[in-house]
Amino acid sequence: MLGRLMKYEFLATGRQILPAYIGVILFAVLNRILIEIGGGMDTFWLDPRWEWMVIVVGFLIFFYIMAIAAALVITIVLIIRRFYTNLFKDEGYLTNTLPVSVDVHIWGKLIPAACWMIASVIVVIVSVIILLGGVIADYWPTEWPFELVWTSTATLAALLWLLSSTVGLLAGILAYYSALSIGQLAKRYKILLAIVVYYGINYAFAIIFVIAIFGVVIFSPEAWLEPEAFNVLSIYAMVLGASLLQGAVHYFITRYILKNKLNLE
Amino acid sequence: MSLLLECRLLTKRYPLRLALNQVNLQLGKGKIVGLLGPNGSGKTTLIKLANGLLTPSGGHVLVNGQEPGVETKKVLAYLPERSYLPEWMTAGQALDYFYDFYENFNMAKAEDMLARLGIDKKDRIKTMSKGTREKVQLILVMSREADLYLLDEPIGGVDPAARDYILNTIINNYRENATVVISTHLIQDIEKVLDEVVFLNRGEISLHMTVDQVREERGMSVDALFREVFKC
Repeated sequence: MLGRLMKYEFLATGRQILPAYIGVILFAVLNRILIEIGGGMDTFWLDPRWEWMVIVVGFLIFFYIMAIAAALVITIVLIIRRFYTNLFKDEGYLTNTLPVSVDVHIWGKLIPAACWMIASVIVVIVSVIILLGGVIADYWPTEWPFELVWTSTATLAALLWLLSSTVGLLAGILAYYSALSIGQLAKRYKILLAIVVYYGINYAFAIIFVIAIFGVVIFSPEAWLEPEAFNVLSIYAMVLGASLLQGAVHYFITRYILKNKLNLE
Repeated sequence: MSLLLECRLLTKRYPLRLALNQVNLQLGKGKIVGLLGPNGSGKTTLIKLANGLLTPSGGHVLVNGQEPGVETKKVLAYLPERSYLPEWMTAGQALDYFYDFYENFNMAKAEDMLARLGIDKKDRIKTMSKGTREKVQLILVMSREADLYLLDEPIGGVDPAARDYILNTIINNYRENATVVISTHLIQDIEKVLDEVVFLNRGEISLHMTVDQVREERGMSVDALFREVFKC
C-alpha cells in the first residue's frame, strides 16, 4: 500500500513540480549557449561587438536566479498544500476512507516530499554545472592544500552527517505536517493557526536546546574545556539527537490527530 | 454477527449544536435502507462517523462489529455528498486508483458502466459537469463488491432521468448479503426500492421500521408518513 500511495503522491505533485525544475535547467542551458556563442565565459564580456549580448545574458541570468527561487518555493508550497488538501479538504473524503493505516498515510506523503526536497537541490547543482561547467573544471584544484586521509573517524563522521541530514530533512517536513494537523482542529482560521503553531513549536524547541546547552555549561563546565568533547562526531551526534527528538514529536502529533481527532466538516 | 452497522448511544456534538444525540441503531444484512430526515437532521454526520471521518463525542459506531479502521474501510463503500476525486485525474485514472486500493473493486464492471454512460476514460474530472462527476463517483462506489454501502444524497444533484439510472445502478449492483443505506430527503424517488426506513429528526431516531410495516400499520406511503412526521 505504501508503494501505491507514493505512486499517486508523485503523480499528483510531479505535474506541477517537474515543470519548475525543467524551467531552471532550460534557463541554464540557454545562458550557456549564448555565452558559448559569444566566445566563452572568459572573453565574451570583453568583445565590444557583444555588448548587447551582455545585457541579454544579464537578464537571462536574472531570470535563471528567479527560476531557482521559484522552484525551491514551489517545492515547499506544494508539499504543504498537498498534505492539507489531500487529507483535510474534499479529497480527504477519499484519502481517509482508503483501507490504509495512518502511519502508512504519513510515510506515503513524507518520503515523496523528502525526495522532492533532495531533487530540488540536485536540480540547482546540475544547473550551476551546466552554466559554469568549464569554469569550475578550470579552477578545480589538482592538488589539495591539505592531505586527505580517510580514517575510521572520517567514515563515522560522514555516516553521522548523512544520517543527521536525513533525519533533519524528515523532521523539517513533519514540522509542517504537525502544524497543519493542529491548525485544522480549529473551527475557523485553520491556516493562521497552523502558521502560529509552526513557529510556536519551532521556538519552543529552540528554547529547549538553548537551555540544554546552558545546562551543560552550568553543571559540567569542564566539558567545555575538554577539547576531545568538541570534535565533529559529538556535534553531529547532538544534531542527530535534536532532529530525532523534533521529528518524533511532530510525527506523533500528526499521527494522533489523524487517528483520533479527524473532523472533516 | 449479522449486524452490519450498529450505533450505541452515538453522540456527536459540534461547538454550538448537538448533531446526534445518543443514537441507537442496528442494521442487518441484505437490505436497502432509507436514512431519511430534513436538512440538518444528522444524516451526513451519522454516515461520516461510520466512515471514521468524524470522531464521536460519545458512544460507539461499529461496522461489522468493529470500530472504524483499516478493516472496516475494506468492506465499506462510501459515496459522499460532495466531489471527492482529485481534479487532475482522468476517469480512467480514477478507476485505476480504486483498483489499486480496494481489493473488492470490479474493474470490468466499472469500465462497462462508464462506457454505457458514454464517459471517455480520457476525460478529466476537472472538465466534467457536476452531474457527470456524481455519476463517475457512483460508478466507482457501486463497482466495489462491498458489504455495506453508505450513499449520502446520491440523487440530490442530478436530473430525474439520471435519478432513475442511478437508482437502477444501485439496485442492480449490490450483492445479496450487502446492505445499502441511502440518505436523502427526496423520498418519492427512492420509496419503491426501499426495504426499511429510518427517520432522523434533530439528531434522534424518531422511527425505524420496514416499508411494509409503514404501509400495513400506518396505512400510508413512506412519503406521506414523512410529510406527517416532519410537518412544519
